[in-house]
Amino acid sequence: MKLRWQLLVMKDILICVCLAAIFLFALFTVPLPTPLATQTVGSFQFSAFPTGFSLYQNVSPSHFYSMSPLDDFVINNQGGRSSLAELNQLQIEKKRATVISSTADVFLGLKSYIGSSSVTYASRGFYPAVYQAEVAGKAIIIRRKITNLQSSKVAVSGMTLKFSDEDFIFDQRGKMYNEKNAEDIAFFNTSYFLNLQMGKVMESIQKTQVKKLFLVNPYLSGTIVIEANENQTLWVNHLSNAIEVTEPLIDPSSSTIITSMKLTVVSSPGETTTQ
Amino acid sequence: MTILTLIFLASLFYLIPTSIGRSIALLTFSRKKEEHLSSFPIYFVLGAAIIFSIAMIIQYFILSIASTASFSHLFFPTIYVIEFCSLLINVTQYRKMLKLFNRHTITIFLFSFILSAIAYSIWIWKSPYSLNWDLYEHQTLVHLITSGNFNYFTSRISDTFGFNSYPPVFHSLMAVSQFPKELQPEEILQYWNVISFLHLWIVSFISYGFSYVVTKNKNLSVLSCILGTLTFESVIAFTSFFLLPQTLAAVIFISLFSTLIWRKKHQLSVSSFEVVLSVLLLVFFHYIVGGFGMVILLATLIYFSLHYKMNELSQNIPLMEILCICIIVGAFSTQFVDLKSLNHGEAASYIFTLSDKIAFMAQSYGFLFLFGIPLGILAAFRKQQWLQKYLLFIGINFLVLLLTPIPYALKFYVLARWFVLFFVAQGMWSLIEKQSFSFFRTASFLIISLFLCGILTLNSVFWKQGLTVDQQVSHVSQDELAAAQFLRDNFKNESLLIISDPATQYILEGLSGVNSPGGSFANTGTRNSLSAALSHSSGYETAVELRQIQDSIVPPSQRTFIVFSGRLFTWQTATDIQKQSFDFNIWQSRQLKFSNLRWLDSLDAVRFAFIYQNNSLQIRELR
Repeated sequence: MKLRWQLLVMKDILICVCLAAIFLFALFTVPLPTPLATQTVGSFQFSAFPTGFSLYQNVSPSHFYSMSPLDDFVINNQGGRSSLAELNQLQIEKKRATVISSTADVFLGLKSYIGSSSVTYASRGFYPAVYQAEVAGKAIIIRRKITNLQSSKVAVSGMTLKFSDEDFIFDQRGKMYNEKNAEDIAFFNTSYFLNLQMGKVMESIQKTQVKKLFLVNPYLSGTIVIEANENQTLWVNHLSNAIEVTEPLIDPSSSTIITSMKLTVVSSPGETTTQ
Repeated sequence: MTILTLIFLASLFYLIPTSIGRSIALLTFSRKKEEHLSSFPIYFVLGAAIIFSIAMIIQYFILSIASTASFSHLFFPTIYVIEFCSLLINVTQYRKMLKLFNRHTITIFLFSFILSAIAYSIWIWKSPYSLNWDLYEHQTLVHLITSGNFNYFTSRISDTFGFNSYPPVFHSLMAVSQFPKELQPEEILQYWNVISFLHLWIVSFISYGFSYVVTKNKNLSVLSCILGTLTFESVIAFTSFFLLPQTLAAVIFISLFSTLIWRKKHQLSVSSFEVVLSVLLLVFFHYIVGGFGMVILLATLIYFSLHYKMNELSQNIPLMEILCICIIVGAFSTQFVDLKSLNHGEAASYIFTLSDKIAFMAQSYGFLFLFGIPLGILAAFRKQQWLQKYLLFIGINFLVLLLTPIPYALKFYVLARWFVLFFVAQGMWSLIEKQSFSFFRTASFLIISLFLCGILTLNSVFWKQGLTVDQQVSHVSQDELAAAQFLRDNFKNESLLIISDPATQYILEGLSGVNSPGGSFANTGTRNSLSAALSHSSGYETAVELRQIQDSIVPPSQRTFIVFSGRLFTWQTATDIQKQSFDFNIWQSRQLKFSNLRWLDSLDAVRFAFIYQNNSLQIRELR
C-alpha cells in the first residue's frame, strides 16, 4: 500500500517535472532583444557592449558617447600612462545565433523588465576591471573596480567619456573647451539662453578648474553633464577626444582601485545653468 | 477625471449594445425562454446592429429630408433614449438575470478578472498609456462621428482609412460610450487602457467558456483560461491585449461558436432566427476576419443541423479524410494561383516566410507549440468524439491557411488562436489528469502560470524595446500630449490642417481631433512633398512644397500648421523606400536637436509664423 502511494507521488512529481521542462523550454526559446539590459537615461539609452558602455540614441547610431577600458587608463609613479586593455584582449567575437537563450540572458531579461537599474561590464586586459553602472532617474553612477594590480605602482587612475568633434563642451560659467564658429555659438546662446564664450584650444590635454562639464551634440537631443567629486580632476583630451576624470591613489600598495564617475542627462542645455 | 469615470465610460461600450439587444430579445424571441450566458453575445451583436442601423437611418434617410439637422444632435440623444427604455425593460426582468449568476459563473468571473489583472499588469509595467498603435486612427474616426461626420464607408469619413475593411460599427459604439464626457488627450489614452483591460477580461472569460462548453471539464477550462489570458500574440493578431475591430470580431466569433455548441449539446435549435441573424451580422464588424468567421459559423450551423437531423449520417462524415484531401488539393492548387498579383503594394509588407512565422510564434509563446499541439491532437484523437474531430478539422485547416504565402494570412490567427490554444490546453491537461493528488495538480497549474508569466514578460521586453521616453514606455511623450492639448483647446473647431511626419500627425490627430492629411497612412504625394519641403534650404521653396499637401476628403482648410517635431527630422533621415512605407514609422518620440533648431531658425518667420514650442516640437503656421 505504502509502495503504491509512493509510486503515485513519484508519478505526480514526474508529471510536474515534465510540465516544468516543457514550459522552461518555451521560456528559453522566446527571442530576446540586443543589447539586453538597456537603461533609459533622459533621452539616451545606456547599454553594455563588447567594448564597454555606451550612451546612445536609437535613431542616430553614428553619434554616441562611450566609456571603455580601451580608453580608461592608469598612470604609474614614473608618469607612464597605459590603457586598461587593448582591442584584441576584449571578448568581442559575435555570439552565434541560437534558438535557446542562455540562463543568464533570460534572468537578465526578466530582471531588466521588472526594474533592475544596474548594468554591468567586465573586461580582461592589462588591468582586469569590472564596471557597475547604477541608473537613478536621469543620473548614472559608474563604479569601476580594477583588480590584480600586484606591483604595478599605480599613482593615478583615469576614467573617460569619449566625445565627438561636433560636440559643444563647456562649463557652468560658459567657458568653452573646444573651438566652434561664432555663428554657431551665437545661435546656441539665443536658443538656450546661455552665454558661452568662444573657446581656444591651447593644449592638447587641457586641465579644467571645474567639477562639472557639459556636452551637447548637435545631432543628439539632450545634454550630458559629467561630474567630478572632490578628489577628482576633469581634463579635456583633444588627442583622444575624451573627457578624463582622474583621481590620485591614496594607497599605491593596494591591489584594487575603485573609481567612480557621475553622468547626468538633462533635456536642454538651458537647464545647465541650474545644475 | 477619476479612473472610475473612465471605467464607467469604457464599460458603456459593451453595456449599451448588450442591454439594447437584451431588451429587444426580451420583447420578442426570448420572452418565455430561460436565459443563459450564451445568449449575451447574441444580445451584443443585435444591440450593435440596432445602434449602427439608427446611425445609418439618420445619415441616409432623416438628414436627406431634414438637411438642416445635425447627425450628432439626432444620433446620440436617440441612442440614449433607447438605452433608457432598454434599462427599464432590463430592470423589469432582473430575476431572469439573477439566475445567471450562480456560484460557478461568479467564481469564473472573479478568477478571470484576477488572471487578467496579473497579465495586464505585466504588460503595462512602466507603460501608463495604451500601447495599441492603432488606437489613434480609431479615435480619429470616433472624433469625426462625434462631430457629425458619419458614412457607411470609413474611407469617406477620414483619409486615414485608405480602404474599407469594415463599416464604422466599432467606432459608432465607441462614440456612444464616450459621448457622456468629452475626453482630453491624456484621458483618451487612459480610456483605451481601461477598455483594453475589459477586452482582456472578456477574452479570459470566453477562453474558459469555450473550453467548458466543448468538454464540460472545469479543470481543463481553467487551463484554457490561463493560456488564453497569459499569452499575447504581439505580432499581427493582437487578440488578447488590444481592442480593435478585428479582435472584437474574433471575440464575437468564438462566443457565437460556443453558443452554437452549447445549443447543440442542450438539444436547442441551432438555426433559430436570432442565432442566424447574429452570425450574418458578424461580417459588419470586420469584412475579412468577421466574414471568415461568419463562413465558419454558417458551416458549423449546417453541420450541427445535419448532425441533429441525421445523426448517424453526420457522425459518419469522414472529416479527417476530407481534411487530408483539402490539404493536398490546396497545396496543388497554389500552383495555379497568381500570388504575384496578390502580393504587391501594401500587401507585400504582410507576406511572411515560414521562418518569419516561426519567429513570431516564438515571440509570443516560445516553442511551446512543439509539444503542446501534438499532445493536444493526440488527446483529441483518443477521445473519439465528433465535436473534438470537428474542432481539429477547423484547427488544422487554420494552420494550413496560416502557413500559405498569401498576404494577410496571419490576420486569421486572431480566429485560429482559440482553437490552437484549446488544443494546447487539452494537451497539457492530458498530462495533468494523470496526476493522482490534487496538491500536485495545483502545483502543475502554478508551474504553467508562472512560466507563462515569464514568457509574457520576455515577450513584453522584446516588444517594448526602444519605446522608452520620459522614463516610461510609451508611443507618446509628455511634450506631444501637451501639444495635443494645446491644439485641442485652441483650434479643435477651426478649419485647420496639421502637417508633419506620418507618426506625429497620426498621434496629434487622434488625440486632439484636429485634421491631418492621412495620419500615418499619408499618401505618396503627401510623403513626397513633405520630404522635398524639408530638403530645401529656402523657406519659399519649402512653403511651395508644403502647400501642395491637402486632405483628400475634407475641403481645403483655412489655416495650415506645420508640426516640426523631433520625429519629423528623424523621419527625414530615413531612406526613400522607408519614407514611402506604411509599416515604417518613427515609433518613439524624439526631442528637437540643436541641428534641428538651426534649420528652423533659418525658416522665414513671416511665411512660417511661430505658434507653439516645447522640447520635442515646434508648430509654425504656413502663411
